[in-house]
Amino acid sequence: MKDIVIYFTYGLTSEDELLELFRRMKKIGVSAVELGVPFSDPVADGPIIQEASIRALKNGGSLKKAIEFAKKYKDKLELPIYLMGYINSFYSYGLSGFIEDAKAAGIAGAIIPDLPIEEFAGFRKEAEKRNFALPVIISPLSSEKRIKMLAKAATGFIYLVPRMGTTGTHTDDFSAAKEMIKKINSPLPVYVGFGIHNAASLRSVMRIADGAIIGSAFIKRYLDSGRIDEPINWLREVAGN
Amino acid sequence: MLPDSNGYYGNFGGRFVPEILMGLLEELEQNYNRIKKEKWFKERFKQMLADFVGRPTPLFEAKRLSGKYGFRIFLKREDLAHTGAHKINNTIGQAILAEAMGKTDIIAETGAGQHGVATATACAMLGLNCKVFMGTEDIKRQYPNVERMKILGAEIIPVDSGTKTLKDAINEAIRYWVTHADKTFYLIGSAVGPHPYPSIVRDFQSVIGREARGQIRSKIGRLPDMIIACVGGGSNSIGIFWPFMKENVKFIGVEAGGKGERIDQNAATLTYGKPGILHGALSYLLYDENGNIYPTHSVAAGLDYPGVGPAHSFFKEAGRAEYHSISDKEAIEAFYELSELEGIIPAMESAHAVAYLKKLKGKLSRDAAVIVNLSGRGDKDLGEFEESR
Repeated sequence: MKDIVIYFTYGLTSEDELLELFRRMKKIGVSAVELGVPFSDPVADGPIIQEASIRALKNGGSLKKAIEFAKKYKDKLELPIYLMGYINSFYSYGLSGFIEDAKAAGIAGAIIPDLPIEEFAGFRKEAEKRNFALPVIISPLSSEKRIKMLAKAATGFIYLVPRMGTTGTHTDDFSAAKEMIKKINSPLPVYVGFGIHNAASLRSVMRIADGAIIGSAFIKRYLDSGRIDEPINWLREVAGN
Repeated sequence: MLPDSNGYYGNFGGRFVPEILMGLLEELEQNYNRIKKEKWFKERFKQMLADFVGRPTPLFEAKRLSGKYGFRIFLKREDLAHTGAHKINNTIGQAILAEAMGKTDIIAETGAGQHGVATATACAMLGLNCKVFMGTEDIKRQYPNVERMKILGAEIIPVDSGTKTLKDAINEAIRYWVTHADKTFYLIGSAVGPHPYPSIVRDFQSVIGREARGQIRSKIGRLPDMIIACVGGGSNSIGIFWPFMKENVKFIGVEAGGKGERIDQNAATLTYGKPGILHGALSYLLYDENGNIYPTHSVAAGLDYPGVGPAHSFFKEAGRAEYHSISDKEAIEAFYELSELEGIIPAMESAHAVAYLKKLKGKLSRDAAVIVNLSGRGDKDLGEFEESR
């Protein structure tokens, strides 16, 4: 059984809707949620997640509230949460306070695309000590030397990006990703994210990796409809359930 | 040594970028460290600065202004550099570097349009492809520069997201960069961004301070008491400060005070901000309690940016430089004052540095010598100005 991880921006919906979303995702077989922390300047994101971020900020979404949400519904969520956001959100929260509060809220880890493993070594060390996962991202331009370093530093899982670019651009060719996976020597699961947009691209990823991360294609269906039914129905269809 | 091997000036700097750019920045750092020492590069850069940019730029003693304020005022005339601002020093340097690295597709961001024009100019001269990202708000207020870039063969990419100014132009340039990372050279215009950019820009702009050193010595037989420069990202200021780093010369950086102290009414990062991370570096930054970047305002598009180069954050914390802010109104007054008293129309950005002179009236002795870095000329601002008058 392979894993499906869904990215969804915190603050886009009401908390009740978000709870319901978690419940339905669990039912379809989603294995974890990347809860997006909205940020004013999301440079690694394409138009869809930018728009999600803008709407979530207007609704008052923040890292603090995302952690409070996780804490409040700790026993109801049933799916592990990884926060995903930009470093300034975490930095302004306070890095060590963040790990403490996130752990207390039952959050499994954090993915921070603009925090390379070379920076804030103390933060990585503390996270490791407290068993708080900091997955790494491996890109198609990562050298073999960097892939080795990244695989060694990763905790939780490895996030493989199959192409250059921001989130949300469709990808159908995963042959490069297949070659990259061969170079990754790690006991951790390797998930492929960025660009999965239909049943065929999901199947391609599931053939080569331990799981798939879906963000823009899922969120787009929420942005377009304003209802959680649409992304859930779409996911059920592409995941073949 | 500054920065250290990890790209830090004290607690500031570093390299906070997505993994896709890490290899490229390592490659840039290695290439730059090698190429900058090579004889051909040094000679070519020097020659271009002389024959194409028109360096050295003069150091002019502004006697009527000096008479008014009661101390000796010298203007470093970067407004006389080709294209009308100091920005060209850096774009020539980086364009030669890009060419040497075999990169032919150049991207740049621009606020006031000065860096965009300077990039388009360097690219035209070297036969490189040039795309310039510019906020739609800035396109409106700095239209003459947009036309110049087009004439020079650059493609303008209008940026309509967020504040529609420099910050969002950089965001969009970064998004383009991560999408075309293998082929693109990002020619950053200020002393900001991930390591090694702040140091590359500082090195190429240091020609300003090196020249000023020799020029002031031959004029007054000693070094100046003070140097004043405006600070947006901080490239003209670091360029003139750096060669005087170890000397007993006071540095004053002047930020955009805009319409006032209220958040989103100014762009005075070092005055009102705190350490944070944006566009690849840890430095002073204007942001809220959740880490989101504040919108900024300045009458000078080139200062209208919520961040600042890491070297300035270091200078602030180390007490090596003082940073003050000047309001839109004070800058506009200085713009007219310099035009009327000295026959020099300064860029709105540079007018902020000129405006600080007024604050020094009565505080310096008659023979005190102050250099103001006149980073650019004001032609580009005339349209905007008529409106605000």
